[in-house]
Amino acid sequence: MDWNVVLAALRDFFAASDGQALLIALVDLNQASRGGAAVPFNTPAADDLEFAFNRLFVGPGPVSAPPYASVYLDPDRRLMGAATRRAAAVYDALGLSSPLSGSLPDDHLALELDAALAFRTLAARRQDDQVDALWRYFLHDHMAHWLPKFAAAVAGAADVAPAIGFAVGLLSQWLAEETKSTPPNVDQSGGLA
Amino acid sequence: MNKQLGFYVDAKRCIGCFTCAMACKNQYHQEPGVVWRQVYPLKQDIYPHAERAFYSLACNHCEHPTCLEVCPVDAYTKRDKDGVVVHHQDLCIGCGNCIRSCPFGAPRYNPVLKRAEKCSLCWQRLDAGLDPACVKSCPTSALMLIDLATFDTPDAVQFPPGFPRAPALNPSTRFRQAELPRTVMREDVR
Amino acid sequence: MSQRMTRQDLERILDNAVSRRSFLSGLLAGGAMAALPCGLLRPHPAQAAQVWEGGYQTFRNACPRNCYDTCSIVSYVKDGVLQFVEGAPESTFTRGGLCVKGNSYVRQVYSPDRIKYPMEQQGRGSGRWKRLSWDEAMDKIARKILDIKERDGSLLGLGLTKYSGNFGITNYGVEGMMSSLGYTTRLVGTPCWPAGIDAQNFDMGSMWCNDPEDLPRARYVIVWGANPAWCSVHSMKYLYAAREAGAKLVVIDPVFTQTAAKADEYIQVRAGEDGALGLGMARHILDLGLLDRDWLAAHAQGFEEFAAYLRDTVTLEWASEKSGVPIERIKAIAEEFAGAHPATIWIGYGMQRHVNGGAAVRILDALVAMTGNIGKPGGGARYGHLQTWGFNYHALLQKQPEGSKGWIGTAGPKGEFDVTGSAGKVTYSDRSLNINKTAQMILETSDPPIRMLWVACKNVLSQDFDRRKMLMAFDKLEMVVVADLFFNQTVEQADIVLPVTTPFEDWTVNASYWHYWLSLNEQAIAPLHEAKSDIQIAAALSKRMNELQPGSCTFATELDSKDWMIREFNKGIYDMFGLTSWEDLRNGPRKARLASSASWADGVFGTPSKKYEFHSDLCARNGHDALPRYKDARPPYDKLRLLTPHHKFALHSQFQNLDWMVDFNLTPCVYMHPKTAAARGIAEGDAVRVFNKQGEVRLAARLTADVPADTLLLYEAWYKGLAFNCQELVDDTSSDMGAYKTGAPGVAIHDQFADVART
Repeated sequence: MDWNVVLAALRDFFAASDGQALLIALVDLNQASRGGAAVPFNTPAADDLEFAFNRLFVGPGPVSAPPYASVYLDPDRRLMGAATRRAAAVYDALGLSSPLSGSLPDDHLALELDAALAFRTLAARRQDDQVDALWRYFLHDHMAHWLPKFAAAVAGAADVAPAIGFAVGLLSQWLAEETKSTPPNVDQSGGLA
Repeated sequence: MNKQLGFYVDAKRCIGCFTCAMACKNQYHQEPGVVWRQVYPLKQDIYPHAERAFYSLACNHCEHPTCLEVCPVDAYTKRDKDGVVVHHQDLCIGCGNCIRSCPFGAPRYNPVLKRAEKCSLCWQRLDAGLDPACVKSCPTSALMLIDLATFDTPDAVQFPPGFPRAPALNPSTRFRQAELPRTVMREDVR
Repeated sequence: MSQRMTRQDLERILDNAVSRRSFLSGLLAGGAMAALPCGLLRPHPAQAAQVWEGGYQTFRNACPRNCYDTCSIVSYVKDGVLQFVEGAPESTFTRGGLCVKGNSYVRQVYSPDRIKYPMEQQGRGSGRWKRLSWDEAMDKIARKILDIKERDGSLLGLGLTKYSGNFGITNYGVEGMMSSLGYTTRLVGTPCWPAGIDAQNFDMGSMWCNDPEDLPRARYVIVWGANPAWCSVHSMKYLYAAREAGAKLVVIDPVFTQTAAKADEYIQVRAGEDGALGLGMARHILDLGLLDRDWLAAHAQGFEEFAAYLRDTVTLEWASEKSGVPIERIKAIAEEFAGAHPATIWIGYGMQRHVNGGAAVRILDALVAMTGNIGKPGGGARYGHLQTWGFNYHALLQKQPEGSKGWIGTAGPKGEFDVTGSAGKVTYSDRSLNINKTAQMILETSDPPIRMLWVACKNVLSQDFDRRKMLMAFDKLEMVVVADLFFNQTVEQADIVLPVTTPFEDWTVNASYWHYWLSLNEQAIAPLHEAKSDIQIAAALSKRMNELQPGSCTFATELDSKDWMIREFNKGIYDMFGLTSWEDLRNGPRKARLASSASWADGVFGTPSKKYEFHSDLCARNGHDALPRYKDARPPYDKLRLLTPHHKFALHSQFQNLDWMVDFNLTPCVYMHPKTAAARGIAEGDAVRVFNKQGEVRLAARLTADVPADTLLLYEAWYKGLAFNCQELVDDTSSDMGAYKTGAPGVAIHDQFADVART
């Protein structure tokens, strides 16, 4: 499985603002995961998928699985928390930023997946130990802390559309494999962080 | 007597508005369910009108704090300069000894971070010359910061009815009790 | 090869804006940054990072939520994020602290529950929501508006209901938006205080209270049907100061409120019979000659007629029988009140939410006037004022497009804050309907019917009366657009929802209807998600309207909110507050320079006679009694009286929904006397239903003798995720007054009746 393609499709999925964009991303995901362990799904109607997606992630009512790190990492379940600042700092360290920073919280899943893509590309180019260390931090000490809780929130929600379950499942699968293949930094005590 | 800071809870002026409780949340953003300052309505055997008299309670910054005495990792210290009992969040291991031993219920369990936490009298604000957040916010001056070394309000008490009586700890909170109006009830319905 | 870095090392580097750029140097040198596959993140130059290290930025804000206190706020922002709020120390009224609601503002701003994007519901109430871009949303709305115009030849089919969710002055841009589209239907009036406003206008020519900061000068204070301990916490310190200086504080209320607990004397009065009690006091004062005859001679008209009415019709026995107050106390309070100089009455809004509310306010005004307490510092008949609201109303005052057709006939005021001067005969006007009968108005209005409703600053389905009728009314509407912060019971029934900003996310200016301070509201942070302020929404709509049909909307298609805030200022405001520029307010709120803390200090009233009018022809011409005579209360239509006043934990639909508030106030309850409960086999905490001809509500029972045995008490508020809605029990019966000054009568919210039973 080409995880870069999967990550880009997941990013597009969670950044999607309408059913069409969701379907396109879903098709990409389906193709990219062929041959992987992902469970195939029946392509839903665009509208139904959009309703389900909004109910779970967007609103306008309170949602079961807000796709922002700070909701899971900051103790008070908020937006624009410490975790958001950390994500923005990580992007900034790469000379990157979100054009909607301040309005769209920097720790939105789509942005973090975009950053993951950047890190993987940089790692593949084997350029810089410091950047590698930063990636391992972002992966293990940030993404790996909240994505499982996010996935659990999705799993615990009522009536999750199979297509969404599929996408989140792929996300979890990627995380599991990535954290295995990319070892973490040490922590100060000398053990693994 | 050395400087010993504490809270003066003036239940006569207090209107139970919860501004102090929310001022603390506004300052520290504790997660849902974790409350450092709570406003307790007095039971009707103490004040005959339900939910009309209150004690606003956080930590009592005792002279002999039991939390400090039972803590296995020294996550509590009592400041020499002003007697504030500070909880050091980073040292706490969440053993629960302090939660179990404090008769006032000041330390609370944080289930997300899995450790205890409590009011530390906004010591960072104190050191910057500011009032604690709760005191600053009170609209009726019912919650005040006092120094027991100089505090001498005559009708203030240490253990008013309804407040746990723990003289060995010597809590630093002082209270004035709520008063009752004359009440004139309707004659047509009793 | 560098040492492996620990997590702690990395966090230390990341937290510093300078050090974290160290990562880049290696990357840039090696050209590694070329062609990253990012679709969202962009490269930016090194200097572009906006980080504030160490200290906070502070901003000036104000709470626009329409409580008496309109607090001046100082906001602390770090890294572009609002960290906490405090009260402004410069305002002697706010005095550095907010309230339980204001202190939860940070939670309101950053709650994950906030509405983020414009969305469209496919099937009202279905829960099937699609996201819209702002362009799409404005397009759909604009097309509907043009469709209505096409079908009806006017925009009378477009209705607006808006009230107290946000009283920042530029928020009147919503009304301005409506005007800029054409002549529309407006739900006018106010559920809040209209009967009393009319009463004070008839008596004195205007609603104009003393500066509340002069309360410590009173020697006698009656808080009558108001509960400042819950609804104006900042006023309590002045009541305490009055007491400390020797004043007696009396609270008169149907229930033992928190304010009652702080008084010298609490008098329980039968709800709706405040007028009888007041007249009994007046009769006694007259009998004992405790009047200020000099003042009456110089400044009042019609007193002798009123005195004759008192002698002929009012007895202490009657007053006691009606109000439930013992004769001895009526006499004692009357004597004390009349013998104290100055004495004052704080007339509460709850007191006038009755079918005889306006009449009751006239009676209380009369008590204050006949004892010579009008125009005295520390005295006065305190209700509210609009003295500090003399802005330009630039956002509000927009012109209809050329050739707009509308309602033909006389127009009235659109509300208590209406400065359009549209009263009187005009060629075309907006169609004004009673906001307090919104459901009825929507159902029965035709030629044309209300086809589309714009809802702003209001949670109609939770706060308007007769909920069952309201749901039927909504069924009739072709399109419902709701601008709001959270998914409340009205958003549930919307077709399109538009996310709005909190006060911290855009500019405006705020005044108070109680104190005399003026507050700037700066933009402290960027709007979250895609939220827009009401005037930005108006501009966006205007842009799309004009693209589809040039000239169809005169509202600016682009605007700078800060500029529009500045445009509200004028010489009158500058002079009143001693400002050289609006920028002075950046240093803190300012108080109006008052010739006297007392209203009507010069004894020249705004009435036709320029005197205080016990006899008011204007009042009679408006369909009421010329004198402040007794008016009958509403006969009960069920076994127990039902009161639904405000709770301390919420401002109507705002704040109770936040999880911080849930920590302190979990669930709605109904309060009843132990006797009432015993008669129905109800124990403390039992699940009960409160029911009447309107509907029913299910909640938990609480027993207290603070509520009389003939009364049920439950608090109005919207709770997130709960079906609780007190409007299931409240009908839309009007109060007597309100139409004169606010365009529609008020509503007798506290003249409701119900029974209760265990479930």
